[in-house]
Amino acid sequence: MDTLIAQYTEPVYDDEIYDGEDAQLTRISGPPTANLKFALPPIAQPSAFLRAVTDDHANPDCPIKIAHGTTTLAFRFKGGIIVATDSRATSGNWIASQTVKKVIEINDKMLGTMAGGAADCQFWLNYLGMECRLHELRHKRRISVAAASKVLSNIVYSYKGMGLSMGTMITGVTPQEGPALYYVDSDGTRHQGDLFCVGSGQTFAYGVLDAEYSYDLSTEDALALGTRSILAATHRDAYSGGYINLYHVKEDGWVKHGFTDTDGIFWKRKLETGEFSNVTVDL
Amino acid sequence: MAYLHTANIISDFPPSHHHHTSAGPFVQHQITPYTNNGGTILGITGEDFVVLAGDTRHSEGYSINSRTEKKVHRLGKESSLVLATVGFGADALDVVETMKRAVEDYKFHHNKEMSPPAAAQLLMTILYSNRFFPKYAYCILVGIHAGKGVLYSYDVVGSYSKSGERRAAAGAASDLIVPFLDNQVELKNQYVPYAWEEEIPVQPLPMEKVRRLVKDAFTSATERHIQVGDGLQIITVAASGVGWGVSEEMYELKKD
Amino acid sequence: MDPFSINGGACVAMVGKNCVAIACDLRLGKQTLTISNNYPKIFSYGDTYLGLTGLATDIETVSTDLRTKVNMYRLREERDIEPETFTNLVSSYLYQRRFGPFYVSPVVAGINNRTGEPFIAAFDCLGCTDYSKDFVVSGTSSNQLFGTCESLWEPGLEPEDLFETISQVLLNSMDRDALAGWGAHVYIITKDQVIKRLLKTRQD
Repeated sequence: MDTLIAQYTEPVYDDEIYDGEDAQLTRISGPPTANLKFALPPIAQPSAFLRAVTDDHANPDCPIKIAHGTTTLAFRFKGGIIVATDSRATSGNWIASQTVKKVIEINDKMLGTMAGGAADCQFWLNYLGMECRLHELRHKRRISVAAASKVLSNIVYSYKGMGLSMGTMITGVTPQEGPALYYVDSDGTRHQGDLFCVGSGQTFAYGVLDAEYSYDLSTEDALALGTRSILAATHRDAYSGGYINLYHVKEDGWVKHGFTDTDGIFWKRKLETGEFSNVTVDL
Repeated sequence: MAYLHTANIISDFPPSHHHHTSAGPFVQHQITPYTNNGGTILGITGEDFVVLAGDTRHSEGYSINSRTEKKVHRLGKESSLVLATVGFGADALDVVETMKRAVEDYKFHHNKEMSPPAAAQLLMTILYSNRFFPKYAYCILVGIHAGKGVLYSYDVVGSYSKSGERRAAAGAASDLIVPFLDNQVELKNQYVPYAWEEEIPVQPLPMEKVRRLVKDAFTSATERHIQVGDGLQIITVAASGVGWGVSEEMYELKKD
Repeated sequence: MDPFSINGGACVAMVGKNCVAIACDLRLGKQTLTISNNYPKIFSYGDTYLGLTGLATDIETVSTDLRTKVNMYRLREERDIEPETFTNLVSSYLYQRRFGPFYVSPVVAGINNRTGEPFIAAFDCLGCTDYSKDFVVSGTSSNQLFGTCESLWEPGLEPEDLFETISQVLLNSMDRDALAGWGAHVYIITKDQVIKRLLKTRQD
């Protein structure tokens, strides 16, 4: 009898065992949840048009500049996940903003990071938040990070070639998966992993992070490592800078650890630890 | 129009790399849907008010189309919302019209004014719905929310900060004005004299000071930017009691 | 790959009451990558100062070539070169490369040794001289510098006030330019002394 009931009943959140990504994904396909209609230029190849007016790499004189340039990172460790980003937005060499919030709070358990087109990341991660909530209502359980990240990657894949630009990390903790981290970008790439850096300053951040990273880091050390990696990137990469946005994702949700000016952190570190000896303090 | 170098978009079959009309029976059509009409907009918030300003020059290349074209628009007679747009004049006005209609519809449907946070999200949705054919319009949206002045600024495809901003500038001379605002509104690089590295705390500015900064910023931009000048439209929205008051001031700028 | 913005950098000069000031940032970059945080762009030729922004390799060539020329001038004339004369030298030197220019935007600042008059000038890369009575700017942050100069500068500033003004102008301008910053030098030049200062700046 019990097996018969179980066959026709959706299991509820707590007592369910993680049954793998594919099994979950079959359940997310419901009716379309929003009517996404995008205006298109009345021509044969809209994507070529869009590239010509907005892509500043192919066409530096393009009239519409979309903000680019970033350093973001996230890594898994025994105490959960650390997420850290800079806060600079540039269009060309112009610093459009020093106070961009590049961590997007999808819901109170999940975070997304933002690199590439600011509007693309904001819009689609916001949209993902809605899809996650609907999943929760339909299935009486929270969506897994694996499934959520796949929802996003499927969406951006369907727009492939249209010029969307985003490199994002989806993080969260669920009872089934534990702390989970996925990298998703606008090419349709989706990767699970322990450690990612994304953006123009990624190489600088990897340099510090790889050297000091260990899964057994204490929470305090992990937060410090996240900060230090972003700091290195803001120092060497012209397109990264501003403030360090720091989050810790734990089992009971994420905790924000400040939005701190790199100016203060940099000089404190330099004067107290003697790091950054390349920076002159004498005439 | 000549300012833009739009793609060689071939509207007729077959797609070909012969970019000349003499290459065959197919005529190549190139569309240049955007023009840069110059101008600059600027907004600064105070404690319980917000000022939004824009110059009134409308230009195309080296020609001036109009010296009296306003860029700052109220979104409704009873609404505290004010929207300034700059970039391509037609797209900018279209965004304003769409927002005005949405604000009016909202009032008919819900029998109350649209709140600034709602309008802010709506504007993002409108701009992003044109993600693949962007409206070439940089927007600054302001209003009074819960007795406070709020300000949101957008890129052309709709990215904005939900928590709002203290100040923003957009358009032709924004790169001249923004560093000045960093210094005078956010007090960047300013330290307490003789106190070792103690930053001067940022405080909301009084209305008169804000209006003076706006005029100074535009007077300076007019000196050094050919697309800025003629007149300055300054709209102030100030909270008063449970409501708000809106006032408009016109200020002369150099016409050379 | 605009040669003027590969390495990045900013320079500004201003006139005060019986004084002039010239300031530059310290960044040397290779596009987005910062190579050095100690690359000053101001060079002194006696009491005349030259700021050079643009392509770093040309900054080195132009500054050393001018050093040779000014030394030769000093040997012939047995006196320091005046800012006005130096300006003409820079102009004619640059125009010699009319069809293969140096990718630099020079700025000159100094006080005329005979009259005591403050003097500033700027050039395009071909040597067209822009004489100015208030301020001149150059580099990747020139738009930002124009905006802040136009708003913060006022006539008749005393040396210490001029220092504050030029520092605020440079600091706030380069904080909005991804390719400039990472330290700054400021020179305050009066008839009988020159004060050089290092500014503590953001390092991002």
